[in-house]
Amino acid sequence: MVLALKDQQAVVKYLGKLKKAEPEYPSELFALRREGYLRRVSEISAGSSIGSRLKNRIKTGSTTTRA
Amino acid sequence: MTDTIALLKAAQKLDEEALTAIFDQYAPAIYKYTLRLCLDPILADNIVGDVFAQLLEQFAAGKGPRTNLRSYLYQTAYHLVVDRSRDNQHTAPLELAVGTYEKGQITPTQTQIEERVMMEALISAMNSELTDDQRHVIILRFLEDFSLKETADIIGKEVNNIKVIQNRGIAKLRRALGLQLEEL
Repeated sequence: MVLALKDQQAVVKYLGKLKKAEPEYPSELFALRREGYLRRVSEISAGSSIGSRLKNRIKTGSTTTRA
Repeated sequence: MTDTIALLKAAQKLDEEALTAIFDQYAPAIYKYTLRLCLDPILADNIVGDVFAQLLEQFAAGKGPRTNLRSYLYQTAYHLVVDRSRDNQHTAPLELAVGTYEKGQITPTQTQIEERVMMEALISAMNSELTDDQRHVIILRFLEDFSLKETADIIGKEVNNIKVIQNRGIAKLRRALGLQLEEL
């Protein structure tokens, strides 16, 4: 068994086991992080939407507000 | 692959559904990867936040990844960890990295005990024997399954250099595990 460990594959095998043994993202941390991210996504999407409307207005020279 | 590209294109247009799907798909993996590097769950969580905040900023500026989103996210995480590791020490106990290893287990068998010892030796060697570059390469190649080319892109080195770093890292781990086995 000592001889087998001197093979690179033995190390890779243990690395594979380590991969499976790793802990998951704690659900509370993940939920909080996701919530913050989604809030930022909404802000950016809203900002982008306003930006697009402004760009269109500048392009067309329109000064009236449209729904 | 097509799905990923379609997702990326939608995300570039700031599609909320696509941006949410990207977070749900990649955040847990980025967390695990970061935790492997920094061994600090709070820091890992913070880095996940920063990775995705940067991604959003890039998309909002009309920039960001065009093809390999996964590599891009890992690359961002890698740089954040490297930046912060200059100020931080590894403080978490080793058990953290094998936290679920004995889940549901009541009485371990001799084989399981031996495996546990080997895993702890492996983690210990990864944290104390390897250089930062070796640890990053080993994690990206064998725990995250990136190719040599992808690993080279993430770390910002040549493929041949990555091969050398990998081989030296594996050799060190092999020695550490070999020594550990002889002690059993």
